[in-house]
Amino acid sequence: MSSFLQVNQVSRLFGGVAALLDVSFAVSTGSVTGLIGPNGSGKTTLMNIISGVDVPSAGAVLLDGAPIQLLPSHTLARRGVARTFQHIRLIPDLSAVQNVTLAMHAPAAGPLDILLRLPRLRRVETERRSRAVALLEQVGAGHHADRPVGDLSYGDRRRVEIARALASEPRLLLLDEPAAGMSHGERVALRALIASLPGLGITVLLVEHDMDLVMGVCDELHVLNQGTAIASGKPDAVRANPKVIEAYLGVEDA
Amino acid sequence: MLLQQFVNGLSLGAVYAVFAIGFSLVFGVMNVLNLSQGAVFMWGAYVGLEVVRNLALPLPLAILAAGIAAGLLGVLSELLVFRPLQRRGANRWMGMVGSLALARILIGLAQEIFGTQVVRYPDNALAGAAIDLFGARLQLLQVVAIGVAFTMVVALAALLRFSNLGRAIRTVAFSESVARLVGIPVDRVRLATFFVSGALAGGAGVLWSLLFQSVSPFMGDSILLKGLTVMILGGLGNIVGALVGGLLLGLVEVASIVAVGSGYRDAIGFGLVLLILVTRPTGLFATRETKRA
Amino acid sequence: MIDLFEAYHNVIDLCLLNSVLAYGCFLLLGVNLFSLATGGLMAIGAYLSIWLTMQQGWAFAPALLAAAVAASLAALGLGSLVLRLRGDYFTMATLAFTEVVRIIALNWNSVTGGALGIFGIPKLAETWQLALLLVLVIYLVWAVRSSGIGERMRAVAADELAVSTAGYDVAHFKLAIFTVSGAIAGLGGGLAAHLNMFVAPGDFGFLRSFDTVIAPVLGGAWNIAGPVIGATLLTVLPEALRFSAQMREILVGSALLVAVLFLPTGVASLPTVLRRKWSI
Repeated sequence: MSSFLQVNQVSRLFGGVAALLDVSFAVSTGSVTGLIGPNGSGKTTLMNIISGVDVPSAGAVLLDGAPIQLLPSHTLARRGVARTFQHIRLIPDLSAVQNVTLAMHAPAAGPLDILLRLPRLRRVETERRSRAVALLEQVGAGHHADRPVGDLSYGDRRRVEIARALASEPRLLLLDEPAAGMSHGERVALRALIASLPGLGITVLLVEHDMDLVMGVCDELHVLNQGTAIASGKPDAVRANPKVIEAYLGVEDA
Repeated sequence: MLLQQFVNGLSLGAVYAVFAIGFSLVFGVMNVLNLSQGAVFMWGAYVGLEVVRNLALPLPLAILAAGIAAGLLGVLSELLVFRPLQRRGANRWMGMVGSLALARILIGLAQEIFGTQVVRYPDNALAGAAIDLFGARLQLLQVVAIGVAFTMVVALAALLRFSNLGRAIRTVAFSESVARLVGIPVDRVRLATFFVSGALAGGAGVLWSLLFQSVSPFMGDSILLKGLTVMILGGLGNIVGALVGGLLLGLVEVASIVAVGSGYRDAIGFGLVLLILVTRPTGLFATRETKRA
Repeated sequence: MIDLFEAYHNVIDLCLLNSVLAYGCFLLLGVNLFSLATGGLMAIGAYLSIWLTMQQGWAFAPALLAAAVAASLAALGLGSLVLRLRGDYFTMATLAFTEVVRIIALNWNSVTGGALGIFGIPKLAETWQLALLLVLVIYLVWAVRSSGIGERMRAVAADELAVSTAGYDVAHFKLAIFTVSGAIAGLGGGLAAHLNMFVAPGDFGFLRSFDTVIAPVLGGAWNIAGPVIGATLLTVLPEALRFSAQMREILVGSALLVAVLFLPTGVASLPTVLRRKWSI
């Protein structure tokens, strides 16, 4: 399998502190790859760099062979990189459907359609809405379609955020701790959802602390500790790796 | 000649600095722009005037009275505008509208009580007295103004640094919720902050009136803009910055009058602001996103 | 009825004009931008349109169009420089812009007549034009706000990062809105100049900017009727209270303060507040 995403010796320095130092790994096309490590190991910093929210101090990130580390997040989103956030970033006053359509780039109404309220506007809005509802149902939040997301439970909001990420028809989906705050049943559903994504042509990079989920759904794992990559490989091999065990020693995950 | 202009600039800057420090204090602690500060400045000048003119008391007492009266007006703006708005969850902009409304009331009252003509402080021992130094004629008034401003700033610095109130103010400025957690009476600290900031504005008002021989109900309008300019130059909420920025603005304005004439004097400060903001956008976050957006 | 109209003709015109200008700021408030650039942008529109009608013999409509274009170009330039600034710094930069423009106008005697201003401007702005323009502006703002663009604006105001990772260039978006708002300000400037036959740089300073941006805040920054309500209040109150110059300031200030304290989300929320009070 070719690598869809290639992280090459990425470093990120904040003042004198290295949040990431010389991190390299590859994410295979069509895989579900996990990025794990104790708190503070730099996972979110790396996610920010890959999604264009931050810039590396050194190194490169290649998407399908092309360097993307300097591209802004809105450009990357258009190139098929979508993400969710550790601390959910939905718009509380907007409904679930509105939040999801926010990330939908097609179909889109033109300025003339909007200003003159041409019939095309109605058609576009109807189609966008039905696609949003379908996405919400796919993630299991369809019954909350028109409620303001500020009113929804934590688990529901997580799912709406995933639906929004899927709305932009990504090729690479970055999930930052999607299972946090979810019940057991919700995690089972989440696992099934993530497992279905490669079948839809989506490569997944998953940052998670829930080891059951990670072990169950990931094809490959990369482990970060204090800003450096310490292990890579199949889940079982990584789990048994002494360096990984040492990194997590004393750290009980939820 | 240079020394003369330097002192001119410094005395002007000293008044700007004192006013702006008060402005900055409120912004730094409460993250609001108190747009009634200019009217408070004006009221300080009038109170001082009344004390000197009608009560025939010496100037230092006038400054003290002006400071206290202006401080109370500062407290009024907290009680009447900012606290109620914060309780009702109003957005930041409403605070600006409210404090501007209060300013209008204060200006209207001043017009009603004192009339609209420009008046001036009666001649006193300071007026006309000058020191001749290295060929420059330095008005004693200017030297005193700089001295008084300096004293006020040092007093404020000491208050903030060494007193319990100062520590409380700094904590509230850092985070209101943290301050509450450690048991600081945040409401009272806010009142104290507004009092101090008002007092500084009032003191600045008296100094201005003495230096420029005029008191009018509208003198607060332009100083408000200067205060905003100084806050940008020094960094919003930064007290030392307000001091340095104020002095700098005074010096630059005087220099520009010499260089390009007085017509563009007020534009200099704003031009500086634009230049600084465009070349060094003061952002607190390092991420690209915030800088771009 | 006609008599009433004649007597208050000028006030009505001013209400209409100030409402149009207020919608420009309303758009910006919708993306969390508190702009004080209105005065400066109006000045550019005003002086250009005066020069075109008085010195170049242009008709009113093309002159207004030119005013709108010129101001939107200025807004484009200014926005590119200052939209990246954090909230309060952005506001200060727009204030600095307005004041610099005003002071240049104050000194540029040949073009602006300096402090004395320009007299004898033909009164080309008619009430029906202002009313039509206001209706058009309200419609356009409504159409945008109730569309996906309006949702995007609300999203930008709430969380810019969420919007940019969803694939939108937020800086570009804000610049586009700022440019449109500049066009409205320029248009307003051209209209203001040809309304009262006289114009001076003092008409376009920070007071003008404040009054314009405060109108939607007072009326309700998120309510489509907010700008009209706020602008009308701010225009009519001083006029209605003009029987006493001193008391007027006190009364206007007090009325505004009361409005701010009792309707902190804007005057447009009055029906909601009353309903809540009386139904319990």
